[in-house]
Amino acid sequence: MSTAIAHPGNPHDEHYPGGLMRWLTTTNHKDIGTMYLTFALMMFFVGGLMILAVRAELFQPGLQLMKPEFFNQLIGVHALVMIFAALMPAATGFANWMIPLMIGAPDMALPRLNNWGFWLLPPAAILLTMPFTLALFGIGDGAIATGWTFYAPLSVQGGMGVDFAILAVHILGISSIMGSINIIVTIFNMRAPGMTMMKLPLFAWGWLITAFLLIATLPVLAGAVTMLLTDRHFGTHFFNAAGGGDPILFQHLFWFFGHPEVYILLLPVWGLMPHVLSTFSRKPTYGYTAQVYSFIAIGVLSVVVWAHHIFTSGMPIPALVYFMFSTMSISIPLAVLFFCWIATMWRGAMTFETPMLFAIGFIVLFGIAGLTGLVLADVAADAQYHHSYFVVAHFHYALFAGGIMGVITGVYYWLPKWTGHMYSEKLGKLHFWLTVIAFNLTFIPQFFLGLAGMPRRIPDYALQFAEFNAISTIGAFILGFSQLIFAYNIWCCVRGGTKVEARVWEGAEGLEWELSSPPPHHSWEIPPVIR
Amino acid sequence: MENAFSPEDLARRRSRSKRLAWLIGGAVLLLYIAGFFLKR
Repeated sequence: MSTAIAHPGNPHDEHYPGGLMRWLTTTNHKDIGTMYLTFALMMFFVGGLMILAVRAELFQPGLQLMKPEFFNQLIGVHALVMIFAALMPAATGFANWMIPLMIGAPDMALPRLNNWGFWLLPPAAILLTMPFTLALFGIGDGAIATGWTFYAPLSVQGGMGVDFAILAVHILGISSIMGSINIIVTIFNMRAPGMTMMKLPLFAWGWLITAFLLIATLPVLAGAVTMLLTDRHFGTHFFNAAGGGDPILFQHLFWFFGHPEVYILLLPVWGLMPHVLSTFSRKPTYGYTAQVYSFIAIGVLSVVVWAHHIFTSGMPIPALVYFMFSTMSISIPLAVLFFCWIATMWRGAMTFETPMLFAIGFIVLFGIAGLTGLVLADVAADAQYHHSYFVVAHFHYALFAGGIMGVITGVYYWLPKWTGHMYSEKLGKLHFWLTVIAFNLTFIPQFFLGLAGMPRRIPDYALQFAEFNAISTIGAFILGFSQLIFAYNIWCCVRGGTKVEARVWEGAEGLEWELSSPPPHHSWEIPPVIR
Repeated sequence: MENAFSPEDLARRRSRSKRLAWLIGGAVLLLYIAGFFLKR
């Protein structure tokens, strides 16, 4: 880890346009980071509302509120919005805000590319959700109803919502690739003198691996959905068995992107965790080098295990065995990370401010995601659990407890640095406890539902599943509404509150804490001295 | 490094970054196009 001698920062009086033009034309990494994070928060609530409608339908057996087609559309768009328009932009917002501060750079290397990358997001989000609105006016048959996986042949036969989603995914992919390129070149070329790669903060390391994963896998997804588009409209037969194509090929191409995507969503959070745990344990991060090599190992392994998502689609036995063992082998570097996180806290002078509570909640709940992931990686067991609510519960432990709770940890940790004000600890702790209790109330019953055989993506179910579904829906509504506390806390913190110093947290180490809170317009005009 | 973050140093870093960005962008495009030639 790096340390720096105190640097006063430079309160540069930059002349930039005010009002809307500031946000449209900004090339400042902090402004762009703020836009990414604001956009992500808005889309988090959009995606959340969709799934609350789904849970309301599932409160009781039978069809109460909506037609099955609309139910399927809500599920698919919920996933696409949460993954591409909420979690990924939130992580990119963190990267924009924090990487230049952490590596001692004045800004991102390519600021205009940065602005462009962000402004591609709103049109893509509009494209994803617009088919709902168009359907209200009798145009088209609603949004994409294939789930977020676009599986052929369903997606080849689907309505125009599929075309909207294909276009949206292309634009979101271009935006992510621009962001990734910028992050890679910033980390390689903009580091302060003396900041060697093995002194790079772990958050930057996590993002570096993420960026390479995006570069390697997003073109494959883009290629797959372009082929889907040509199958739909230009008479090709890439995925049409009747024309000599292969629908299973689409599944392979999709999951070649789809599985690394899980790590794309999680690696930035894994990079953030050591900073939070070290700060509130008042101890240096344990096992810096081991964590760096674990990130690299997970990054490499993540692109060679994709077919565990499609064990039941039919594969030769040697392929099944290979994908089972390669998937299970990811648990080794992941266990190293868990060990390092726990060892960082071990015998530390711990305090439990809101970011630390969320970080500990993340470790416990994400651990459940890891353990249930091992169960799903087992070929024999997967045959029973595939396409059941067990899978739904597993990936929400990974992506809500691992991804979203990690993002919330980062927001509480860095919000005082960004705004110069302290948030309400009381509201933060209330938010934490409601989130953890409601999250488990929502998803523990779904493990049991899956084990009992309830399939996912079906709006109706047998009477025997009624109680667990009712509990899950109650949990989901508490979970959804408790996030309003989070939004309110952020709003109050941005508007005002107790002023904070440069080093917001007593145990915080790293360059970002040497600059004022909020940091000056140009972050490091004079490079910090790295020891 | 004494002249770190001087206008010349920043220009040098940015031009290195642009070159690397084009290289990565080219690799992305290549990967995307190569996909269309996939055969079972």
